[in-house]
Amino acid sequence: MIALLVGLLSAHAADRVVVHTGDTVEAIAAAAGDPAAAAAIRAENGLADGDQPRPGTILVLPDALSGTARDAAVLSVFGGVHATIPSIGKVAVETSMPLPPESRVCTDVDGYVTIRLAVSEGGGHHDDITLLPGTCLTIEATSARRKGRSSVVALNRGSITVPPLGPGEQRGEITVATEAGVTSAEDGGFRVHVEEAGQRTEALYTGLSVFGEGVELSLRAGQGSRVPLGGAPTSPVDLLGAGTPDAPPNGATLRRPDFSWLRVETALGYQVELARSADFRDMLVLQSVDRPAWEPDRLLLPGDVEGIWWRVATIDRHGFIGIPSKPRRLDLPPGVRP
Amino acid sequence: MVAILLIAAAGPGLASAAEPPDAPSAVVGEVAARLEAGTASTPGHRLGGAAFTLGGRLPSAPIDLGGALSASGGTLGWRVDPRAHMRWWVAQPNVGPSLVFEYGVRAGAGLVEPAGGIGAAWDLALPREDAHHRLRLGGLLQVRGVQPAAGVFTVGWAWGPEPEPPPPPPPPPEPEPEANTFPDDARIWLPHPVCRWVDESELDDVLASLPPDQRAHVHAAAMATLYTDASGLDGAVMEPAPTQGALLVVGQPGDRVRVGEHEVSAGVDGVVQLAIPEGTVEAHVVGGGRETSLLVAISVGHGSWVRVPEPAPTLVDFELGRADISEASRAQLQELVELAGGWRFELQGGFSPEGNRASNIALADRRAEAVRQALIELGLPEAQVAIIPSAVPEDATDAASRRVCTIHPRPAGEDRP
Repeated sequence: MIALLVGLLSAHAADRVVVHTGDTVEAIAAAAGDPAAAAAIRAENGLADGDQPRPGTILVLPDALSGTARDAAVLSVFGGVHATIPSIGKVAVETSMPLPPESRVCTDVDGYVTIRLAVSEGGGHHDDITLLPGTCLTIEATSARRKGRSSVVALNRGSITVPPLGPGEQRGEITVATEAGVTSAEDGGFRVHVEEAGQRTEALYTGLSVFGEGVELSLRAGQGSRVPLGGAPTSPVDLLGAGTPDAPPNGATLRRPDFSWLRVETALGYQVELARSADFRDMLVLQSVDRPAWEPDRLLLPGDVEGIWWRVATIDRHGFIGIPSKPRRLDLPPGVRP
Repeated sequence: MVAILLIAAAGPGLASAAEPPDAPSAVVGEVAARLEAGTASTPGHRLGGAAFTLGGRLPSAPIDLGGALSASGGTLGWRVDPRAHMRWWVAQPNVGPSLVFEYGVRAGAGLVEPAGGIGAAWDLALPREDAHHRLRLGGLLQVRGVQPAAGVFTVGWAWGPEPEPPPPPPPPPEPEPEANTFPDDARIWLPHPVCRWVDESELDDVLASLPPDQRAHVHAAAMATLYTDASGLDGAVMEPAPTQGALLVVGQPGDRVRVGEHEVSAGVDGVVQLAIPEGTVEAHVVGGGRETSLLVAISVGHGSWVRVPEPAPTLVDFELGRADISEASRAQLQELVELAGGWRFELQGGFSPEGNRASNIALADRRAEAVRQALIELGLPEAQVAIIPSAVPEDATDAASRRVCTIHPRPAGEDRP
């Protein structure tokens, strides 16, 4: 595994750190391994002597304090996705394509892409992020440290979802910055959406921090919050539970794409997701519907999969999307699967 | 010319000491005719000669050619007549020359001299593994003609080991299985958790670096799909790359779908699945009184589902207080029958709220029955049409719209209400 990833090392190694409430530059320097580097950190980030950054600030660490930078790479693609890569230009995204820092990746209205951000120094642990249709983000930095990983992306528009840590996986910090605020989590399992006047964050499986205007808000698993442009995060909102899937039954062959689930009384709508894998890192379809059923007029699925997984989440009256249901597996009919 | 007819009825064969113990023993039939030429010291008394033999040995050699040298002696009249000759069967290479001794009694002398006797033959083994000695005993009957030439015909049976037939030719060697080779332009993708393209040359090293139970899913890009495990490519099965996509038209039971030259009726799940080359195709769907064309883009190796819109109910208008069908309505019903497919239709008569309710309900039923009769007359099978209770108007806001018979399409096989 180590040998596989050597080729992904980047020459540039500028690590980033999110400032939490109570953090000081001195404490950050000490945590990075050099207490005397506070001045260098201030110089790198344009801070005057004695200044302390506000919570939610993303500091750039000097090279000497940074971990091992690694290029992100495309894990899976479905539909139209393109990237603008420094020194290369705009290209169509392909699986396994390296994405160095400052790469901008955008999905079309039918495109999905999952990007492997940071990978641990020893390999085997990684942070992934999935861009939903109509999304653009810029990869700011991805690096591996001795004690974990760090990835920072700027979400320009659209929505991203970060899968939870798998069994035995080490924590890795993923920070998503929008024009309105910052979302930072160490255990994955969250969504961030760019809205017309701010951002929306949903913590699905573990807690995380949301920042806006120097204010840090901690969200527990199953809570959501908005950050309006120029404002602090709103009070946490409890997310709705998922509607229990009804049809097709688990393990059925997908001939008629007629999906249904039990109604959730206070739901404003539902979001159905189809993916190649049970961890939904290979997203294929995401569709919002206003009733507890989805019968698509058209559906395109790849045949080179061992199965299709689907799940549903509930949308509440505030627009927050809840925790997805347990995934169900479907087999593709012979003839669709080669 | 001396004609000799020799009929040899051989007795049970005796295997020689040199015969292998497991040599096969079989009944051997023998038929032969030979011409002999020789010398004679006295008329009718031939001392020696040479012969050309045409004959056969059953069952191993139905036709054979041979040669013989012979010598005989005896006296005129009723006399003993010992003969000896050697014979070679040239078409049976595993049978050696035979030493034949015959001892008979001849009757008279002249152009025809019938004789009978007994004989014995000693087949000499050739110096080869599949040859062996053989002793034959038998009776003989002969007719001798004028010297020095003689014609001899023999027929008889012998018992003894039959030379083994030559071994069958070895079967052609089975073709060597084709090596599991990659096309030159193949690329191999190792998915999660590796997530990297690798060259074939480094694949084994990569797989060896994975845990022993790690199963890798390997693609040869745009050429084929391979499955292998950490042991490498040995045993990997190459699957042909797909050349078509799948089209799944999601309709209802009773729909008929036509795509190009293919016309298929939907199954019990209402789905028609076809393999289609890449490109845009038009699916033409008929059933339930509706006719729909759907353009679908087919992608190789993908499944493309397209849903057929549900048919809408058909309304047949009636005049106030009347239950007869107009020409316009009949044309409407004609089109419905032509586009019915395998669907069923439920007819629900209606009426406007003016007048007596009981008579209005009877009117609605007559309207439904009139539509039913018209549909059957136009060719719709009777089993596909049924009348359900009439619809009672809830208000009088749109009286005209109630003077109708509503035709509800129902998919084939759907339970009746």
